[in-house]
Amino acid sequence: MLMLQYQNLLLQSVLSERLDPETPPLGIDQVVSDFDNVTFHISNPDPKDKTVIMVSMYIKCFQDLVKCGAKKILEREYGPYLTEPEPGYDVSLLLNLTDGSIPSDPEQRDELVNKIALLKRNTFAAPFEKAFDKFDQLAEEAAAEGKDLYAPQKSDNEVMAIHYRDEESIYVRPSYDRVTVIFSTIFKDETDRIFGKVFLQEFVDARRRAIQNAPQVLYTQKEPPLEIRDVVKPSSNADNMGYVTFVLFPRHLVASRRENCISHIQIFRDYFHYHIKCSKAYMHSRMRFRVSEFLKVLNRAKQENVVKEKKTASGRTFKHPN
Amino acid sequence: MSQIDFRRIDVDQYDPDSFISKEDLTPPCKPVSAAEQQQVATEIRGAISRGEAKAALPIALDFAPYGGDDKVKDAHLKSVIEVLSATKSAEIPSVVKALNKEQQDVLIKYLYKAMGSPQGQSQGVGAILLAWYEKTVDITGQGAVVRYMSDRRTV
Amino acid sequence: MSQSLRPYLLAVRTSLTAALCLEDFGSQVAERHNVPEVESGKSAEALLNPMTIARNENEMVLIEPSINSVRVSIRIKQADEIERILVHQFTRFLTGRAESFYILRRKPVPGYSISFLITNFHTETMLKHKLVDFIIEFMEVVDKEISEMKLVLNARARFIAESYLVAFD
Repeated sequence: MLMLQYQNLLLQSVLSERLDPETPPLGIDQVVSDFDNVTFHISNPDPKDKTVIMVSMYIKCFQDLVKCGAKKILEREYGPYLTEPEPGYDVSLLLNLTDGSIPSDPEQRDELVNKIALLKRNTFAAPFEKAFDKFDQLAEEAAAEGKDLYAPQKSDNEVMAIHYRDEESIYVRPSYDRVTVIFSTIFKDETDRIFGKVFLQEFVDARRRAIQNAPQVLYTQKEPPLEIRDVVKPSSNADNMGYVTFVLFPRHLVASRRENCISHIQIFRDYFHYHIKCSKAYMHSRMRFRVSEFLKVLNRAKQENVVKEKKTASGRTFKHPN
Repeated sequence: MSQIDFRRIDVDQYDPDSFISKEDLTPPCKPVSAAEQQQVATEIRGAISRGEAKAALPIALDFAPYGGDDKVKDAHLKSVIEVLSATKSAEIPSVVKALNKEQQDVLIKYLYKAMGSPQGQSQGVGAILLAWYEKTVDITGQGAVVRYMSDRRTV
Repeated sequence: MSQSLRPYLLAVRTSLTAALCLEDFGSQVAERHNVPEVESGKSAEALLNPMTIARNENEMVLIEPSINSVRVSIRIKQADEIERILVHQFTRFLTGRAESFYILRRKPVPGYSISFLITNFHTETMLKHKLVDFIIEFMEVVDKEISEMKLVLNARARFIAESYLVAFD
């Protein structure tokens, strides 16, 4: 498996089973974890009524996302199902299996299930959508003013910061000719750090080498990039901090690619770390193999313990004092 | 000191008779002064510049400063490395064959010493020393290596 | 095999073969003890002159012989940060399994990546020339393994980066 899915697989499979009218309704109370400290809770709000299912989600940085208009997107995507959030969670959806709000057509039902499985993705999309809209607006203004598209200029556009993990954040900054997305990353493990560096170097080089149309990737260590220097909070771990910058150009922001682009950029950190772990696992299996090879060579050095029976001339067996 | 710490004291180290130190094992050698080494070094350098590295090697090996201090030994090591680097690799076997047993043993000593010192580990010198080592051992056999290990007189 | 690797391994082989002349030797310091003299270092007369075989400042072998044990330490080439971490991981992986390697020392001698300790008990049960073969093969394979792992890591990183970025297009 090379790519990670955008949706939550477990959520998807649980729901598609539950929403199927042919399966008898069963009580459910399940907590599902996702990347980036996101937790889902699937339960029956009323334990006696098994036909009503509530799906709740907890996101660490929900407040940051609300500031970027997450509520609006949730309303747009899940309007009829939204309900008062369950205590301890940030978003809750209520699915009633009996009142006809669930489509009976299997295809439409699958679509709904997929949509719910993308709950995290859609919530995280808020800052990106906002940034892309802002980009449209700025680009129009720029065109109207006849600005030179490639002239560097100072921009005072607001940077949206989403502190989605304890020490890591995403920064999104729209401009009239590009949208810059910056991930701050930190590695807890020395090996991860060095592997990460190799990977990031390849991300940086990939565009130059093979894929001219890809977003530009930049990587800096310690020093935050200029765009976000004012918003980065000084941290005790500043020395271990790395910043990965993705520059999305207008070609990535056209309406037809927009959704895909949002999903894809969100998954960056998970994808990146997932493959670092995979590399480590591969190295491990390689070393395991190597060690067994070494052992074979070493065992060749062992003398075979041949205990030959020795007999004296008269036919009696002679035993070694050992 | 707490009550049980006395168990950890190595009392033997205070007993003068129980140990033979490294110094006791070294046989007495004639002390070598820096000036003498300097003289030999000049002689060697002269021979090298005349293109007679072959002749310089026995001079360098006969001089082996067993009794000198570290400074003298290091200075002489430098001279030996100069001689070794000046010799063409094709000539090595004939040069080694021309040495007597004693000189061959000293050569092995110097090869090990050179590889163990920063002077001999710098890029390029390492390969030269390894070539010398290979060809010398071809001629002397393992004996010279064993004599190097067990000889308490170090260069 | 590269040009300078052959004499290097040959020198190690010769030196190690010469050093592996071990006999049983009870400690002179502690009664009824039998310890590797090279580790205890308490009797100078039981120790022999150590040998260093160096290819360059990053690759060398230290052989410390004594009457009943030989300690062989190897410094593996570590050209950059990636190789350093790979060597570290690999040697840690090996030393973690020292039990099954008999002659592997659990902790390397300072300044070296990995150490072996061969005692007279090992040479009594194992064939000496095969032990030497093992050390030589180890040195040969480790270098190759490290550089291969590095290549694999780079190739993987490149592939991963490209397939991620392609999806934007």
